[in-house]
Amino acid sequence: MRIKTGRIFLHLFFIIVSVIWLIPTIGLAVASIRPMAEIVAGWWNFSPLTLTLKNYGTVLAKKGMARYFLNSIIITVPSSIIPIFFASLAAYGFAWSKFRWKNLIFLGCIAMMIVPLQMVLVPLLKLLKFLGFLNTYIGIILVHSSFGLPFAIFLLRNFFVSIPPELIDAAKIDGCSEFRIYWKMILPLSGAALASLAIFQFVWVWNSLLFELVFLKTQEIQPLTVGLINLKSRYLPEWNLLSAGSLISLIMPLIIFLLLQKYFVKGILAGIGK
Amino acid sequence: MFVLPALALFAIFVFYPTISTFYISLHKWNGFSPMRFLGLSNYLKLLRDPLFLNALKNTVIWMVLYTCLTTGLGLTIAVLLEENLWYAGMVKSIVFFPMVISYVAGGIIWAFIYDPDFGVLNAFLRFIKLSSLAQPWLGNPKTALYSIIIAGTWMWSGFSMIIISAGLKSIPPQITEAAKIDGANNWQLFWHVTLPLLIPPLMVVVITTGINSLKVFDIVFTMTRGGPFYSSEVIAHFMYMETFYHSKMGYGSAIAVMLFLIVITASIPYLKRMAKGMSE
Repeated sequence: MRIKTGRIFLHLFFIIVSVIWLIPTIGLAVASIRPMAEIVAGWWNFSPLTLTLKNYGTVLAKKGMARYFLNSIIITVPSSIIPIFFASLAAYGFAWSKFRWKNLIFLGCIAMMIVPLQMVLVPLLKLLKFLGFLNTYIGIILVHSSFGLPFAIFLLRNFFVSIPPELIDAAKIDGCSEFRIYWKMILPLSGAALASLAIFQFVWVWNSLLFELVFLKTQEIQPLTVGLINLKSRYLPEWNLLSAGSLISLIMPLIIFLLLQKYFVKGILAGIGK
Repeated sequence: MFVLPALALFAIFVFYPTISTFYISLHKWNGFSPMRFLGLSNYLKLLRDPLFLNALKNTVIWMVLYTCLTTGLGLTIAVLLEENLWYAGMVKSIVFFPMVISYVAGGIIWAFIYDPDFGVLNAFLRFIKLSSLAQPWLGNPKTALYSIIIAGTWMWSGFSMIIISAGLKSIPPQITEAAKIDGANNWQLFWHVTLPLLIPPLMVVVITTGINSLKVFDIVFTMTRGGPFYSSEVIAHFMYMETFYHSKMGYGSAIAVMLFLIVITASIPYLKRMAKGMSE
């Protein structure tokens, strides 16, 4: 009997947890397909109930969400591939090559992972202006690519080290060049780790706000996060539009989450050194 | 050399700016006219600036509350999910989901909940006859900070849950079986067997969320911009406002350096762990 009441409390606890974790997003989704006139009475109030896609049409066409979405893709895709390419090269070097101060340089890179972004904003602004990259896709892509490096190098190096050294030695004896070993052997072996990283970096850049706020000044090239900030006027929030806009912004991470949750979790666990 | 391309990018876009910020922080600069050397006086001013001290206080509140709440919730959920529940995977996904959305979207979701007129929270309080508690959560200086921390907790509890869950999986079942045979009840089992074995993953969770909480910016910027009356201001956001809204690049850089020093201090155990992981 005692065990049974325990079980009931357990179920109750998880029902409450699930409700608290689901209601916020459900509320947003419901509000996004109803007119403002009805949201005023509460999105949970279902009489009268008018379902409409008009909010989505408005934010996409009139509030620039379509453009922001495109910009997010233009920025995020290269920012997820470039750092992983360079990081895999560097990780190969850190794992298998011998050079002076190798471990020290590696640790230095890794330590930079904790630097707050605030620490680089002003000089980067100056630098991008100097290079003519301020307010350009290439500028923000370069910045994201550089900041994605430490985590990617850390993760891949730890993965590469776990590859048996005999494999590499054998390839060297067969006369393979270092680059061939990296390209033909190491990369194909690390497919899962690379995928994990790419997903991680994609979500990170997609959701990023601070760099975009400082380095992208015109609506033509701003991504969804800044677009949502532009949409959110401080005093009179139009919840019908805001909710539609937010949902558009989280469709991409949601799809990735539903399809590739395993890789994402793997990335997190690898990141903490498990 | 394989490491050179990465190192070059890194040196130009990460390392150089970090050093440069130290230099700028010793100057008075509005971003346009020439810099004027001030020595350490930005820092002296900072230590007496009530707005900075207020932001510092709020950042510490963030660190303590946010770390305790996400770790506590993640631990509770992860441990209870071990009880052979058919829906365990579903609950994990539900709690984990907010981790993949942006703080901007999360901030808007919660601003909607806290909305004084159309928000579900006040409606719920009125429904359970607690109308006196209903209020503009983000507009009230007494509640704004805590309301944002709750939103942050909703977003990041999944992190500690995942890591603690992985930690639980690595506990050999023989140990818990043995304790059960020795007559330990569930509570004793948790307190004397499971929890001590969970200390390494718990350390990871506490350090990581602790460091993240010091850097919190996006969600504050989205929900309140530090207001009302600086009641939800934090250091990372204060730096942004001083630097880019009030064009005090030198002063802002000094704030960034202070934040950097605080984060470095908090990260010492983390860095040690990294260095140890290397040598193994």
